[in-house]
Amino acid sequence: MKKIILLFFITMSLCAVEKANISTTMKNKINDATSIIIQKNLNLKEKATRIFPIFEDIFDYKLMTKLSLGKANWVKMTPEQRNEFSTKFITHLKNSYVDKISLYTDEKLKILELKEISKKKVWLLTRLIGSKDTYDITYKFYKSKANGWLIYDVDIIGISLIQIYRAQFNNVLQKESYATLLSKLDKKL
Amino acid sequence: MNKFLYLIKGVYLLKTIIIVCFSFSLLFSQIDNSFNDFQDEFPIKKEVAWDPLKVYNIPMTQFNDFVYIHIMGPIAKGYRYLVSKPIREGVSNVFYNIQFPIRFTNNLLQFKFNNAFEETSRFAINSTYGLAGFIDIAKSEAGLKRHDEDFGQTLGFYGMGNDIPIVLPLLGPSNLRDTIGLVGDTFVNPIYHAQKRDWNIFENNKAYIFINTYNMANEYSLHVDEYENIRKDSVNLYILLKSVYEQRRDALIEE
Repeated sequence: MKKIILLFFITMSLCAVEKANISTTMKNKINDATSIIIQKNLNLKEKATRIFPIFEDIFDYKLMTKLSLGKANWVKMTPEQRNEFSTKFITHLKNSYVDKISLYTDEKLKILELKEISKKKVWLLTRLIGSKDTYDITYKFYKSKANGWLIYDVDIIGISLIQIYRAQFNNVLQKESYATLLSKLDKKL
Repeated sequence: MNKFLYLIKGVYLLKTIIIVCFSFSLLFSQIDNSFNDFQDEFPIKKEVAWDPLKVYNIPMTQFNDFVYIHIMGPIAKGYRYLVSKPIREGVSNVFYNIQFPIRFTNNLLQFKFNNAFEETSRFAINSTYGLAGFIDIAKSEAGLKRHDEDFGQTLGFYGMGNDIPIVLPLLGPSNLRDTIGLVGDTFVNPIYHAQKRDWNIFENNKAYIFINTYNMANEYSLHVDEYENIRKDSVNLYILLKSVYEQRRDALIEE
């Protein structure tokens, strides 16, 4: 039993991203993903199934769900509702992310800097440079208790992913109900 | 003796209350732990915005969406199929270049003199060597970056908030501040002055309408996928587009 626990901790620490490695880890991950995106013989679905595992251990999807709903709404939900909603929203988030990177054509990624926001938060500022436009993308990391540094939000040209979902979820939950929100999310899947 | 008994009872009661309160706070702190570090970043206030024109804004959003998906989308995609990307980008650059007075004026109004000077250099270089702005040679050769500023941003710079959201026909989400800004910018926008006037060569508004329509179609052909992509994130399209627009404008004003 002790060995198993020890093994568990060793593997955990191996997987966890250290602060010093954030830039290189992300760069490698994005490079891996783009090498899949530019393959012309794969369709979007096949690309998606290959891209998901790359980012699986660096996005804190559970926290992203909670932040998108907001504390007030999250507290009101039953554990079953939380689970049900999380599963659906996480699938939606993943699909949405793959959709976004499918817009990728000939841009070059440049890692600008790792900006320290607080002891528990760092933002990785990156820039996609295209033939005409450039897009600033910020990957926001926080220090989780068990899994090292994880992404809790992505900011594209000043637009926070969490913020746009928060605004919408809050509106639907205030004006309508949890059931409506779920059915609207269902239609997307 | 009685008093003493009351005192003990009182202390006991106080103890119970404290314990109950403490355990409650412990319970809550356990539930909400993960939110604590993020409360400053995602304040609740931002989402409950005042929206007096909602009755008009929501149908207008649906109208715009319909036009974008069913009319402008197919046109832009057909045009995109016929005309290659470098040419469309070049055309977009020409329209962008000619609207230099807007950027120049608003950089000045915000005391960004350096940026105003760089914009002037860009305009001079691109209008001549860049073939009327078709090639952004100022950026590729001289490393001079764009400094987009409009009157809405200038008003934001002077502290005007984004209080009243207004959805404009075809142009999409905006707010009172930026709508005033748009009107303000028309005075220094050369394209606007292509309308029929006593003092210019235009005999009718055909050229003006053509230029504007072409500019819009060309611009949309470069961004049609982006709109259709972001639309997929919607649970409520009006709120989504409003949030995207406001966040983007806030970021631009902050620059």
